[in-house]
Amino acid sequence: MAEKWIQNWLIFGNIFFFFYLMIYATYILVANLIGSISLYRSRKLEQLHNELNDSYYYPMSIIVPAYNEGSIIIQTIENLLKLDYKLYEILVVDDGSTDDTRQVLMDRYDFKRDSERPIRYQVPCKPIHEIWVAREKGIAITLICKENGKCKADASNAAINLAAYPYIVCMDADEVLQKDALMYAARAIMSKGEVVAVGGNVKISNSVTFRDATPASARLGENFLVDMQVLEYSRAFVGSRIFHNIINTNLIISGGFGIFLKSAVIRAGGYDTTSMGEDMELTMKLHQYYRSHKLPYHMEYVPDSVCWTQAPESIGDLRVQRRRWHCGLIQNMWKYRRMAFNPRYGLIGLFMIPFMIFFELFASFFILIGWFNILLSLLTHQINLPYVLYVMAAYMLLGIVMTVTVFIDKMNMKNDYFSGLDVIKAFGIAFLDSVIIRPWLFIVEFLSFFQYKRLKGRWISPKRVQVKEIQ
Amino acid sequence: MKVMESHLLYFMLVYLAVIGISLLGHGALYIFRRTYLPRRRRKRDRWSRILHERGIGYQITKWQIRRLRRDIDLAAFSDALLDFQEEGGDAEGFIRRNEAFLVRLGFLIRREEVRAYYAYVLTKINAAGKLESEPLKSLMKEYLSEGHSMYLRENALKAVYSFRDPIAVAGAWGILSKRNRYHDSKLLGNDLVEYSGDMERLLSLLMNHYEELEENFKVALINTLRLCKNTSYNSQLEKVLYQENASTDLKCCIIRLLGLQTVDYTSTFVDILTTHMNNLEWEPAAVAALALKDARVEAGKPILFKALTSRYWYVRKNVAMTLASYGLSEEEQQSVLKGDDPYAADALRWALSR
Repeated sequence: MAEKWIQNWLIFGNIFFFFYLMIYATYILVANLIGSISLYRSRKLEQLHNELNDSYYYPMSIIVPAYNEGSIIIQTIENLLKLDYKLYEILVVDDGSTDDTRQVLMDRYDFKRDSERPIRYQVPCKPIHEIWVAREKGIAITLICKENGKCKADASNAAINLAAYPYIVCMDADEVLQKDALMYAARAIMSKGEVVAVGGNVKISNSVTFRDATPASARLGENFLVDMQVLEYSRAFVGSRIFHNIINTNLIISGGFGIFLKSAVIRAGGYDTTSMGEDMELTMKLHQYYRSHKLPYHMEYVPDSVCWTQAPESIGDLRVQRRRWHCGLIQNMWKYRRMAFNPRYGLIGLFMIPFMIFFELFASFFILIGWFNILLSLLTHQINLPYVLYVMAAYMLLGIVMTVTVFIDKMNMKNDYFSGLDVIKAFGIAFLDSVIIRPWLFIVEFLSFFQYKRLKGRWISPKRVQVKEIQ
Repeated sequence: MKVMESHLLYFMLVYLAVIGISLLGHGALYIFRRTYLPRRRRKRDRWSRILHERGIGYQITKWQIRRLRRDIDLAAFSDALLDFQEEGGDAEGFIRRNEAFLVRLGFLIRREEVRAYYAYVLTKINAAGKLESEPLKSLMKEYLSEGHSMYLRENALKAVYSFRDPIAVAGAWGILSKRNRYHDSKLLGNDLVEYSGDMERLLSLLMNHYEELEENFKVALINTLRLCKNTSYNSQLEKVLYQENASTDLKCCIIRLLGLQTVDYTSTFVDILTTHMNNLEWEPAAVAALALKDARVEAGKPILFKALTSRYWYVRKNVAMTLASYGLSEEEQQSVLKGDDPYAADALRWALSR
């Protein structure tokens, strides 16, 4: 009886697992191809854009939430001051840091106290204690000192309440916004009507050398873990995200670099201070708001608008980061569960959220079931070795093809450099990634279902180092 | 089981086919990308040859119009036409001769980016404002009434400006304004200031339709009046300051315009300062305080001292700057610096130190 049951289970499980992998892989490949075609077309149209008058712009407020970022905050601000953009302000939020974040800023810039400035608390945040203003190279810098809100969302909300301009740029304190990032983002806003959010391309800065807020060299580095993330980010931010952009179903405008229409964010209630994936939460909230009110809107993804961020260099930091991401995903999928399979929300409800549930949220469950089945087949001597090898080879092939397409897409990107050695190295990394790192990450994601409560309400940031710069 | 295995094999083949298509697709993209510029150059050379050999008498064919809808062909055509104009050729004449076809082309182009480029090319060719074409003006107005992208709207508007026809520009403003789409007042103002036709007439036409204009357009128009130092409509606009539904931005830019005639409007500024200094809408008070700078009348001083105690930082700062520019006696300074309001003292101390 048990043997029969196991046999049936294995048949069902294997077929499910096979289809699960194949559907996912096929979708990724098709989305990637469509994304690449779109990238090529936009590059072609840029030949026209280059000749258009580019002097149009939208004023933007750049928000830099900082909690214990004393070691890198000056470098971040200095790079922001180099941006090639006409009108912007920088709002640094010191979220009750216990290090010298505030002091290093005070020492570097000529801040004047402006605490009596009237504040309209339009989105919720912890009380703001002090406001300091300075002007450097003609750009206004505002330092907001507030009570620790235990999350980036609270710090960002405080800055939204004080932002002067119609668009807000949300980023992290350890990032370098590429010199032309805002220019490309503004172009996306102008090219389409009703743009409420623009997502930028987040790349990894660990092995990059910068000159004047532009990468001078951006090759793969020495750290395998970082290189693996470089490839992972390239795949995520170039391929499918462009496809999701075409059908206006991007569910994440990355917290690392996102531009939002301030009035839309305020209307939606700002960042949720209880969320662990506040970037995804805000994006979904905006989708929900605009679709339920039947208002026209666009969320644009701009691959040329680049922001460089630091990736975790150690296994421990990577585990913490991925656990937080997955907990954010669990939280958001639960919060917006009513949008799933709901035709009222169009493709978001009918396609994107179900896709996220099956292929992101529960991916670790399905993969672990697949492994369990292989093990069970082995133990019960029912293993179909050619079948297992087929599936594994097919999955490996996906990694290789994706790597090839990443490099072809890179050729259509701006300021993206790579050498022949990088290509060879990338294939090695793609192989090791699919046999070592990916399975381990599935386990981390699986375990995060059980660590969800423990992670709430904490600012988590990996160890920061200054980015390499040359004059 | 065997059937199932054959099905699985079949799906595996489908999957491999998808991989193959993906790789082929990416390969094709790579080739297209590498050959884009040479192809554009070849097409440009072909058009250059036509323009040089056949001159402005050449009639574009229907087939060519269909080809020109594509971005690469339009770009190559415009390259050739602009080169031809630079070399002294009569590009306007060529456009006049092919007007009907080019208007048709304008309607055939569907992508907004390409339409924007079409409008841009038209503006460049008509830089001297010699081209007179009602159908092309109508086409640009069509773009204005249909365009979703700011690029298209801005370029079409610039193309309308290039015809230097005040009635057409006023019509274009009317279309954009009625659509109630966000169009930045700064962009509108920059374009209007650069208008090289009969500015007086244009401003008069726009002022005639002032009430119908959307907020951003009103702001742009008033700012342009200020930059052109045109004070003819000041008394008309002064009344807006007292309208309840007038926005803060509008009030502020009207005060700045009236500031060109500070002496004539001192009582208005004092009035605004009095009513708004502690109001939630404090911005007009801050601007009025600055506008009083040039008045230098003793009559305004008492209210300025009172406004120095406003609850709003910007109002205090601007009032202090105006008072400092008047030049205060020692007694007047001390009355504030040693007065009850430390914020007022702080603002005045800061202004005097400048």
